[in-house]
Amino acid sequence: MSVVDAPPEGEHPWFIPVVPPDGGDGSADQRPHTGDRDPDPTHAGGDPESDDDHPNDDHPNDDHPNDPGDGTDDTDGTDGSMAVAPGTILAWSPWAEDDQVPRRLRTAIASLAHRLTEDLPELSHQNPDGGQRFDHGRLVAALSNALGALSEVIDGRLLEGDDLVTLLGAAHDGAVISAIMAEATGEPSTAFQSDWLRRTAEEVHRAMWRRFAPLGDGRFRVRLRRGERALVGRVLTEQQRRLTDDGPELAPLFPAGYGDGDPESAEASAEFAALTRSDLMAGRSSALELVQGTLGERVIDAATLSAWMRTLNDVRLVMATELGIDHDDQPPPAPWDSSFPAWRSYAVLGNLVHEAVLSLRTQL
Amino acid sequence: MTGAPGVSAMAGTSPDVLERTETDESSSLDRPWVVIVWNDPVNLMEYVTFVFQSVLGLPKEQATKLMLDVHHKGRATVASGTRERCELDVFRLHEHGLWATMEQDS
Repeated sequence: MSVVDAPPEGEHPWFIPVVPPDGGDGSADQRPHTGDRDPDPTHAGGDPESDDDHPNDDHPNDDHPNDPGDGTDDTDGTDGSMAVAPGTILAWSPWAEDDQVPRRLRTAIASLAHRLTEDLPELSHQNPDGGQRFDHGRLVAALSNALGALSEVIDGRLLEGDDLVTLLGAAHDGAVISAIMAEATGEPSTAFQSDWLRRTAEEVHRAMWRRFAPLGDGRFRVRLRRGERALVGRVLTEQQRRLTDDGPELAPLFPAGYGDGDPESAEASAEFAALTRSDLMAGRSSALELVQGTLGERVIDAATLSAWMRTLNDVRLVMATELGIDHDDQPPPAPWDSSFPAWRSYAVLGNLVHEAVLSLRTQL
Repeated sequence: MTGAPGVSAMAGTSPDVLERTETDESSSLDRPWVVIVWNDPVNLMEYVTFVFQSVLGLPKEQATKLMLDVHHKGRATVASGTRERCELDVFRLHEHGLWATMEQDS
């Protein structure tokens, strides 16, 4: 088996500017989010490509279930905006299976606020590029704001969109301020805490970007990234041709049903294939058609998402043979290798399958 | 299957394997059949775990353990029972692209 093998297309590791005050090259925005909280996560350091979003995509509530897969999403920007309308249940949180994390986040921020107040009354922060200076009071205020906001989202396993913004802001501010504190005190434990907060912020950010997000009513919001809709459309067409041709390349989709290849098993397998193959083929064809028919939709139900998951996984199974993938943890080809583009598509499909699983399993 | 509503509906159609005439030799009738899933380099670990949960109705812990068995040992026995029951499981695992076979327990 394998694990998701590449960062998703268009997803760059999110850079949260936690650079020690005198470290780094000064190019990073080190401004803690003090005072008024910016509700727009795009301003918290998101994917730079999100600036390309066309304005019509700025309203996640404006779902167009019948929107015929506008190709523009795939050519001029990311598919959907990061802007989150308050009250919209938008994303599966990274803590669906560990709801203690928001609590731990709150504990971490509270302890930072306590330390900052009791032990580090002189601590302030000057941006190395000569920019804004944050005095002690503003640092404390940032943590207090984060704590206050967090207290409203601690409970609840399926977090709403604006809750994620709150969590992102709190984790981000905590990471920045604890990095400042770690720099001032030299404490490894504070540096560790800062690292944990930064990774938590990254998790929240990923949750906001999830391609298939449960809406809380059994349906899922689809938000593919640049080029992915076109890629899926392309591989579906290829897969439809393969299913129609029914050639030997489909072998991975129809394994033997019986045992270890002795003559008796081979006979039973042939009988099993005779009984099941047409059903399996029909199921694959109808799933593929369901995906083709919903390719442009922004909201799909669980059965449709399952069809996406199984169909794209089928494509991966067939592509793997063509790519010569025959053992676990096989390294990708070099970027200049002729097979690299196909491998890249294979990896992106893996991400889609993975995220479909993450969303579907919240409904088990 | 025992999946939650909305998930069990995803599994597609049932095969008509149950209609097959029983041809087992009488000497082996009492030995149960087992379903084995084999490792492959393509299916994602989280995906395999999810399929074990949704198709076989296993709790998450058991599904995860069996997935890791497949991954590390190359194979795992994921179900057992009558021949018909096992054929249905194999069919549904094949629907999901897993490399599953069945054999009579020895």
